[in-house]
Amino acid sequence: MVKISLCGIISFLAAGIIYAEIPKTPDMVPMPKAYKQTGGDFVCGGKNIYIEKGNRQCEIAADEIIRKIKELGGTSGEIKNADKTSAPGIYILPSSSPSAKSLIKEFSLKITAEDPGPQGYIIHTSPERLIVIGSDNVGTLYGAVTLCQMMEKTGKIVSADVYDKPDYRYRSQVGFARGIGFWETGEKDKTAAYKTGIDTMMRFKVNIISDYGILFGGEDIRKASPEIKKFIKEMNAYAIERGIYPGMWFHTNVANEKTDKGGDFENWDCIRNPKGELYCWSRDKMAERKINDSLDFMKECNFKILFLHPIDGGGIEDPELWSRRCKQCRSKWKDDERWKASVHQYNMWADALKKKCPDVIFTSPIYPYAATYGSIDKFPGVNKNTWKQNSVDYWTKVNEGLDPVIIPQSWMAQRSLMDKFRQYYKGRPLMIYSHSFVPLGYFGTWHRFNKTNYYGNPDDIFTLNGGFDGYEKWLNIICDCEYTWNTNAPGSEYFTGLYYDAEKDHTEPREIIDDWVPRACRALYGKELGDMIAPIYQAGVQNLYIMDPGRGLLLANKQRRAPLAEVDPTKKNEQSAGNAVAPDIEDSAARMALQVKATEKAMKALETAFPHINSMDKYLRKSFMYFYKRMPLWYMIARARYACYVASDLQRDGMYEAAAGVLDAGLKSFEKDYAHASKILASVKNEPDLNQAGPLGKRGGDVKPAPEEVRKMLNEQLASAKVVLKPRRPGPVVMVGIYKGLGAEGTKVFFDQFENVKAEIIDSLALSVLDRYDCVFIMQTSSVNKDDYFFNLPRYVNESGGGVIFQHDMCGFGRFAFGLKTPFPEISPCASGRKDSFDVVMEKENPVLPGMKKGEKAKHMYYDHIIPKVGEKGFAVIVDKDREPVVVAGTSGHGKVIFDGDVNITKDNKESILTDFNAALAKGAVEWMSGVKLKKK
Amino acid sequence: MKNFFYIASVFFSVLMFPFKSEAAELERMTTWKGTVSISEKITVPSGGILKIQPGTKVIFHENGEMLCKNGTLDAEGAEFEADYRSEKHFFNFKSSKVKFKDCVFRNMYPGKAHFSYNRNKSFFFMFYGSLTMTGCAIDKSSGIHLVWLGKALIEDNSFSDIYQRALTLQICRNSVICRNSFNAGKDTTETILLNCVENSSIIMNRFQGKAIALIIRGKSHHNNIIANSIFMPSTGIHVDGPAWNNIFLSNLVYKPSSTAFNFKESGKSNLILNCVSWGSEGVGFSIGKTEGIILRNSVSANGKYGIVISNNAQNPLVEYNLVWNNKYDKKGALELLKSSKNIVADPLFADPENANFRPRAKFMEYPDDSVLIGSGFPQGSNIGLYPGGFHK
Repeated sequence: MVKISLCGIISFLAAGIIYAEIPKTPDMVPMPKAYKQTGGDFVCGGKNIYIEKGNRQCEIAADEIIRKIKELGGTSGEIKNADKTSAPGIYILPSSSPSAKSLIKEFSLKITAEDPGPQGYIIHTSPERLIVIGSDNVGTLYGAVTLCQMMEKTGKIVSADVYDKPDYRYRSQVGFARGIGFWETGEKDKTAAYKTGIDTMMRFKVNIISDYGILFGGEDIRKASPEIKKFIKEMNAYAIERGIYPGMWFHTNVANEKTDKGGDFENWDCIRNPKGELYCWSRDKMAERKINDSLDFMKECNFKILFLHPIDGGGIEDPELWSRRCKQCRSKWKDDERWKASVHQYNMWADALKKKCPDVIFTSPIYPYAATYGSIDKFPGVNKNTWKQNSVDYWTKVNEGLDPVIIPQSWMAQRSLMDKFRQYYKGRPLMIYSHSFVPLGYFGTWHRFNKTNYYGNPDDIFTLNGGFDGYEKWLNIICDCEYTWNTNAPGSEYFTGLYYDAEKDHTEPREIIDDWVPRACRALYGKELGDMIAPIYQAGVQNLYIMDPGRGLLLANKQRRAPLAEVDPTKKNEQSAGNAVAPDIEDSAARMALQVKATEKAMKALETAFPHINSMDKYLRKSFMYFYKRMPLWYMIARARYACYVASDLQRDGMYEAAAGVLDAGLKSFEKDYAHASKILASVKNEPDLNQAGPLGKRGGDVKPAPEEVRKMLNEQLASAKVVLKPRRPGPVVMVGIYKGLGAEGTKVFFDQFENVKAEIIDSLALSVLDRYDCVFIMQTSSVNKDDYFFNLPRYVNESGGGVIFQHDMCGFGRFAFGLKTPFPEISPCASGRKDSFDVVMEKENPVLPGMKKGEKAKHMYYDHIIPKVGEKGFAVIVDKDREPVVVAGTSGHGKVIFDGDVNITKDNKESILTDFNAALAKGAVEWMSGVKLKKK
Repeated sequence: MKNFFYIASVFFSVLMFPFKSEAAELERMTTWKGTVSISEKITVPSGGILKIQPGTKVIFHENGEMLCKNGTLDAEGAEFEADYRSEKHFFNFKSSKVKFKDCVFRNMYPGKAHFSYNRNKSFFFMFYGSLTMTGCAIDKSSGIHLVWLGKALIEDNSFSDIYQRALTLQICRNSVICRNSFNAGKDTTETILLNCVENSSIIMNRFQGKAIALIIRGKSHHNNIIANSIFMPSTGIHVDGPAWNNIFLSNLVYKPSSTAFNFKESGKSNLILNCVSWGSEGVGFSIGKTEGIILRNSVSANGKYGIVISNNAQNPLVEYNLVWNNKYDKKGALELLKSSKNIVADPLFADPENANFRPRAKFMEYPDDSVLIGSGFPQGSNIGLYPGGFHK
């Protein structure tokens, strides 16, 4: 036993030692396909870097390594041409170079142009030499990028063998204008800002960039000035050297009525869209001019991907609005020959492209461009022949006639649907267009679905098109690249219908939130700062939801109700894309409470990181500042909304006082939060962020509602909560209803003495009748309907805030028609008896008779009175000489109730104007119930 | 023991009736009881306390006035009356703590105007300090004028037949005027004036009679004007000046002889919600030279003009209101309102002629639901006086 235990201890200790000695995997993003530590370290600092001189990717790679070593506090060696391979140092070479071949032979390395293949690379560490060889030039550069991510302080790495290649060769996407362009904010040198953005793309192996149109006010290239074109050309050249593919979107329109002059566009007889784009399949001369202009622009500006969009509209029944084509088109192509027209149109582009810029990738969302259209099940109301002609037959025929360079596109679809779609476009790569939705938060995990439509074809393209925050997008882009580079990365999943789940995608799966996010943050922001910043992305902040919960949940629920609605080219019927896959998200105080916690967590992380921000470059610092400035505002809004939500819940339950209390507290919290946010904003007022206008700028500020509006929101709801405390509102005269019975006439005569009372005798207790009065006297009678009595009177009091005075037998006395019961048992459940007595005494001062002091005595008109019991919410207004209650009162719901054991007739059973205590109580009751002092005429 | 009597006589003087004040300055601790006649300037000393016990009757004779600077006055259940018309204020408080509960003020007018530019005269003037006035009746007197108060609570009082203006608040903040009843007399011209007042609330007051019920001037802001009922005034609510960011919620103006809600001129972001104008002999809602005003969930019906928006109004947002049966509303103007989310329809109030403006509802056994129910903004809220308090 002892022996076993000793062994166990020894094993445990050994394991501990081994564990302690195994270095952690470096923060590499995307993670290489294979990484194996080989023991020992290699110090990059001071080592010469041997490259193939003149090879731009090698030169950029060397510069990157030097930059990284310096950033980590090391000293770099020289950059030299790799003539010989025996010298100690770092070798950065493409597999085609003679020096690389020599090293491959010496170290028996497994790398060729085909293996790992384009963009692939290997890293091998020997004691004196660190070798990075790419299958091609970009692969070489990527190897160096990975090497930089492997470096620790002073440029030391843990020796390792790395083998890597991408799954998708073209992947993720960054916006030129509305992506890296945000780093230009506040900069005089915009070129440097864009270059830094491109460098950042390269460092995370993101290689598609688009969205240039905004630079020249749209997609019509004729609006681009020579200066803009020169700038784009320069930036694109810079990007291309770094393995990035700049892409430009065009449409198949042949003219634009806004830009093209001289044509008879008013009478255009083919397709015209609301933007003024004019389409036609048969006006070849116009098409040629458009194609040539477009491709000349692409060539001049160094674009490498042509995205060509056909007419967007018509759906499965009239794709591209084919039925509306002009006479000339009709004469050339019959109704079932749209595919021929498409082939003709696309091939014109392809022919010109091959002549002008043969290295450009050509891809198009050929209409219909959703794999979901390959299933008749999605179109229950559509004729099968129509569906077949316009989707699967069309795709098949187009595929046969289409130039081989053209790559069709589809929105991401379930795997089974994509299996079929690929068959229709057999032999071609595909471009997968990720869903373009608007998320509620600035970071999410939908990228895990990127494996769904990956079939191993390295020429496939995957573009990231949605799921962005308005300004800060980097972590989404990098995450998307991870899951396109490694489609099977931990946490990956197949898309089954719900692309964006706002309830989970900002906090799950753990593989991404807990493991990937900190790693990516360290890779992006630096090792120490990355750990501090990671909680910002892990917290699950939904800034859009916080700022506009209504719009936020509308966007989120749209995905749940009609999961593919946003990727349906028809867009006319959300049901066409499938049935609801998840129940609607209901907005609630609990949901907003999570956001309060999330923003609080993120805010703390930002405050922790703030003292260390000097380690960031000035561009990344803007991304940090974007959050640093806004998080306290988002927190402030979330807290205020939470108070409003809780108050609303309380109001719904009738707890108006509590609601008002919550809102009062909410207002105090708001002032505190606003002061904190203002302090933060003031402290960094000279720090630019991603939005020139700043979070609260009058023009262009992105945080809404503004603090003043938040305060107003709280005040409004507080006011509303207070208003509903008293729903009744007496008019210039108090309306008193007297339900016919004993004493009704005398009571009316009594009230007729007052100038601000209008008393009427009524014979109905219908709600619509009761609703006309501020309070109602129920005189003693046997002529009363049970439902009116037990249903309408409580509703009138509780919900409408009316007041009711029950007299004598109506207080639930035994001889009363309905026995020992009252409609308000909590105030007075019934009467306990009857007493022959005139005398009453004020036992305790109360608001019903504010003029009577304690101990004051009075007499009532009739010779007896009923003794109403005091319920748990009632109080005795006055008692008799034996201290038994004669009048009991209480509040119920919004209204008030009095049980008066007396009756408003004289001792000899005659009607008479009220006198004595009866007069005092009638006046006091009406004043108490209505809140209006009665004035005698 | 001897010392005790000495101290009591110096610091705690109980004055029994009949008392005729002669000393200019009261003892540091004074209590009044019975009848107190004042015929000269009585001063509560700095740091002194004057308590007026229930049942005390204080009569101001010629030259009688009461001053209190940095002192305390605490009166409950007392009556104050004057038998002459003073050229000065009967009450003049500075930096003091003043409390009146269940007191009656009668025949106390006219008092001089405190500022030369202010022609209104008040019997009660207070500068700085705090005031609590609850359950009091001010009858046939001139008004109360409060300047630079950090806090005032005026609650459950009744003002009747006031000479000129009942209540003036100037450069005050954090004040509450709540559940008071203002009955204008033949000499009443205005009821409440707020001038440069902030963060204050005018809530659930009832105004009756031909006077301008509420005037807001100067840079008044962040005030809540809520659930006030104004019956047959000349004008209901009149805003004239750079007042900004005030909320006017759930106020009723019933049969005014002129305009019900007159925003002649105002600053930014005033918000009018769930207000009702009924039977206006002028305009229901008049939006003049304003900036960013929002008029929402409100009703203008049975008057001469429903909603009139001046060309000087900058970016007004007028939506989710109901306009009905206004004599001179032109078809084009109504169409324009309809096109911007307003409703033109019978509001189906329960009993509007008797000032019952709750919407009719089937659950209250009316044949139809009023269009007001659930038609407001945000979705599900009501148009009219009851934004969310009229449950089905």
